[in-house]
Amino acid sequence: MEDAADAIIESWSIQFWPTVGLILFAVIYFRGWLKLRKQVPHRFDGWRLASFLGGVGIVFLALNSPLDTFSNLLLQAHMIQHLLLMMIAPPLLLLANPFLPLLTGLPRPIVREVIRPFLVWNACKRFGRWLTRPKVTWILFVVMTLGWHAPPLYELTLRSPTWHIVEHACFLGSGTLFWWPVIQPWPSRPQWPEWAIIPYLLLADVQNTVLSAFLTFSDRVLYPTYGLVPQFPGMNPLSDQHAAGAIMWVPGSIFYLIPAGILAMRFLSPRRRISGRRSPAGDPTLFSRAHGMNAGPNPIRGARVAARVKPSSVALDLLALGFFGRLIRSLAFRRVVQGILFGLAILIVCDGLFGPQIGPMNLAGTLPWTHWRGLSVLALLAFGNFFCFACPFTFARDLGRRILPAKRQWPRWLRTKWVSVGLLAIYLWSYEAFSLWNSPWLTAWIIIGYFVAAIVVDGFFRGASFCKYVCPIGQFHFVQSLVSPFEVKTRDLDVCRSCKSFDCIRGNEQQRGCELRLFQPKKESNLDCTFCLDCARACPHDNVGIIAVTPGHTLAQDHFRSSIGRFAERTDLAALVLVLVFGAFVNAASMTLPVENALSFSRLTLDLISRPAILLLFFSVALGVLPLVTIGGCALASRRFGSITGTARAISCRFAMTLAPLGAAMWLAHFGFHLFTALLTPIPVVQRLFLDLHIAAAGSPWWSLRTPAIPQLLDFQCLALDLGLLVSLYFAFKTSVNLAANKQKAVAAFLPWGILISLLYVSGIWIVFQPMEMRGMLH
Amino acid sequence: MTNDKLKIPHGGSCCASRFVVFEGQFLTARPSPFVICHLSFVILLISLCLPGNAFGDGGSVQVHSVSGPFEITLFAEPPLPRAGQIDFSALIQDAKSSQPVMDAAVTLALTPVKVHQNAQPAWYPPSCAVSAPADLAAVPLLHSGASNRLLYGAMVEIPAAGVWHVRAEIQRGDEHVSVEGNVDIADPFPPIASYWPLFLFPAVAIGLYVLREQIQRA
Ligand code: SF4
Ligand code: SF4
Repeated sequence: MEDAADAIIESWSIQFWPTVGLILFAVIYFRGWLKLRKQVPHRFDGWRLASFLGGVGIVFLALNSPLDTFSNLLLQAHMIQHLLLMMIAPPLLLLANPFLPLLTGLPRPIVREVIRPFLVWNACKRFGRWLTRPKVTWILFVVMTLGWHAPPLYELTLRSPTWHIVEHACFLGSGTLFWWPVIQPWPSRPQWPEWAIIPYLLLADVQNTVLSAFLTFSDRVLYPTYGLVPQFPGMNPLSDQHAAGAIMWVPGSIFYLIPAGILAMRFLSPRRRISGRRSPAGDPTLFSRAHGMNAGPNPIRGARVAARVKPSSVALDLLALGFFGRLIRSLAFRRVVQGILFGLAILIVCDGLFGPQIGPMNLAGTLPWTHWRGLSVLALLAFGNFFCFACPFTFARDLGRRILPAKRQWPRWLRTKWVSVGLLAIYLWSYEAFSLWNSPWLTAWIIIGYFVAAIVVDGFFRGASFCKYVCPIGQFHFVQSLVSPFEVKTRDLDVCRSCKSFDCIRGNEQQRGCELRLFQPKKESNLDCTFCLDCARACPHDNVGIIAVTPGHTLAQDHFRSSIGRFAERTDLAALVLVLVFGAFVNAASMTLPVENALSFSRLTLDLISRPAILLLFFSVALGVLPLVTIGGCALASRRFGSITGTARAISCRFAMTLAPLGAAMWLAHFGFHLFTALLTPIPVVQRLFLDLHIAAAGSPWWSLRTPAIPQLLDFQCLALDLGLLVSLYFAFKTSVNLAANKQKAVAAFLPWGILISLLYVSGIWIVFQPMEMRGMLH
Repeated sequence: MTNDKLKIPHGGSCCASRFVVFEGQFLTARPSPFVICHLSFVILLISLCLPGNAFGDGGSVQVHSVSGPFEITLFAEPPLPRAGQIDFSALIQDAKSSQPVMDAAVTLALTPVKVHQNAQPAWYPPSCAVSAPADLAAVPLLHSGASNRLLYGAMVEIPAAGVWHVRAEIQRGDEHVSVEGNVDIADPFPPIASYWPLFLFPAVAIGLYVLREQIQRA
């Protein structure tokens, strides 16, 4: 039946997380392989890569193909799936010499901070040696094979998806261990002589034969579930079981016998007999020659090749990426992107003022609140502050400078973040109090107000005073970009040390220098950096790049930073970070049903008629009293128990910065939720706009269009919060270590902050699990 | 990784090649550390990334009956159905030949028979709560709704635990049959319990960090 056959072939069930894991696994290997290929080419030639990708592909096939779909209906499909996981994928993965590429492919800080301490730990080494003893690998493999095929356990996996996952993990893990002594991936060394692997394989085949014979010759159905499911034409549960036994027996045996045969032939060959007289485990040269799968020049010769390769010390630099680098560096490109966003802003303002006053039907109700916020926070955490790079208000600022004098210095007493702290707090309150997301008219006026403020501030004052001291959006981006993986920074500090011109800050005839007064050699982190790249264009030595860094790497240090100073002395900066961190949680909580109900209840009991009034109270407590009390309390406790010298204010300022990663995670979880649940809303809105402009080409608005639900969205939100928690805890601990006299005191100093961060995390998890008000969408 | 970070030292001694210099530290090239790292990669990266549904659809058989020209099997996934999202699917076969019937129209109707007293209401992730609950009186089961394309399937949201009556109507040309039965729907898992690996992850990471500190101190 042709359509039934087609249906079987089409029966793929792509499982999201396993697929993401496999892709990540392949990418890490590929990255490491690319680097190692240059150093030890004979160890990492093309077929190793092909072998690894083949192994990953086989695991993908086993978990997602029709084999998996039919595994609960047909025992033979299930058996093939298991063979792929135990007998085919592990040897392919091991043939690729995966250890070094995986280690090299990971970001260096992860290897240094997370993996290396374990690799050099003796207990770990001993356990590893024990685990790869052929005796142990053989026993584990046999126990796994026999154990999981015992009817009670097998039935358990058929009833429970979780146990089925555990079973697959056991098969893949024990398969990898079993094949380890056979393949002996470089640079590991054998623990048994090569000849001993032959009985190792043959004995494994004996147990395989016994089990498969039992399945094949049994006259009763061993796994009752297969007796209950419907049968396909020409098949019954017993014939299915016999076929599964045969699959296990014949192809299964082949996988043991072929390598055993190869090893036997190699062992008996005259050349091997001569070398075999020498110590089998002592000489890696012989070992590598002896293992045909690892054949190639000896590692010592490989080392000479490696030594000739010129080292490169520069991390990934976006500006050095050929055409892409030149593109983002060019001023013309920046102007084009800004022009597009400026045009879009004008369109949003016009639609907000003259279009329908229903948020989800208006550009002003969808694009700025749902899409722009989500995309800019994603860009911040994936790359860097590319919103400021493309900021449409810069047009207005440049216009202001042309028509107004722009000569004054920004008043000294205003050269802090307090103005923007106040503006941010007002924005967070008014967003809820006046339901800004649902008021296109107010949104339009906010954008107009923004343009006017940019023109006035930069029209009268020199430099980028608006960006640095006023713009709340800019401050949001500055703080979140503390945990961006890229930073505008010098490529080589030695070049700066010999520099005389300092054009990056002073500018020259062709190009102005940094308006934010960030001097590259003294700049640390992305704080106050708009990614305008004026410094990169001005530097005569081409010494500025957008360089990959460890996210948040400067949060625990308090060096003097150009134009920022020291964290410990910047109460305004700490206040900014705290408003944004607590604001992230309050802003997200406000759209949950329980908080909404609690606010309504409080309105009734407190007899405060207006919603803005009760929200003012709520936000004053959440953004003012709560941070003040908790941060002050933690600082005092830290000082007391950790014996830290310094004022409570300075301690608060230092530790407040370490909360930024958790805040960024909460913003990501919140804005990402809106972005992905209302991704398609602009389509009918744009259609409506075209219709209003009497352009019929786009058709009538498709108001019933729904963005498909993404079941994994909550997983992503939790994962973001997990990472935010871990990064914040890590930097808080590092800060304690930097401030305290010894490790014990550091732990005591860290504890109050650890508790605060954990409480914020728990509240974040609570928020993302609550029913949400679906803003920016038609219901 | 650059050359100054990873070197395979050269020289005449075979001992030298037993070491790999990584980030300035010698690691023995004996299998142990490699195994730990490698295995943790294979097992952690793959198995920890596996909390998807292992079965696609299918799951446990809820109703099986031969009616008219058809043999009908109704499945529910997860195998122990709980209030919330349940993947219902049906395999329609020719009663005589057991060949799968691919061109029928299948509709499922679900009605509560006895909802548990104080039953926990089903919980959906907030993002999925957007999709309006389907009309449980006539849920169309389609090949496109099942990952096993021999089956007809749909994701159904059962609002509460209890006993539910299911009735599947099958129509092919003039042939029309129906099968029915009761399905026990258990209480939903508490939402947090469904996401335990995500909460375990930070705990494990913190545990490993503490261990790492201990190792370094030792
Ligand atoms: S970044 Fe360029 S201009 Fe600035 S100090 Fe360094 S070399 Fe000089
Ligand atoms: S000029 Fe200043 S603000 Fe612009 S990218 Fe360079 S450091 Fe950042």
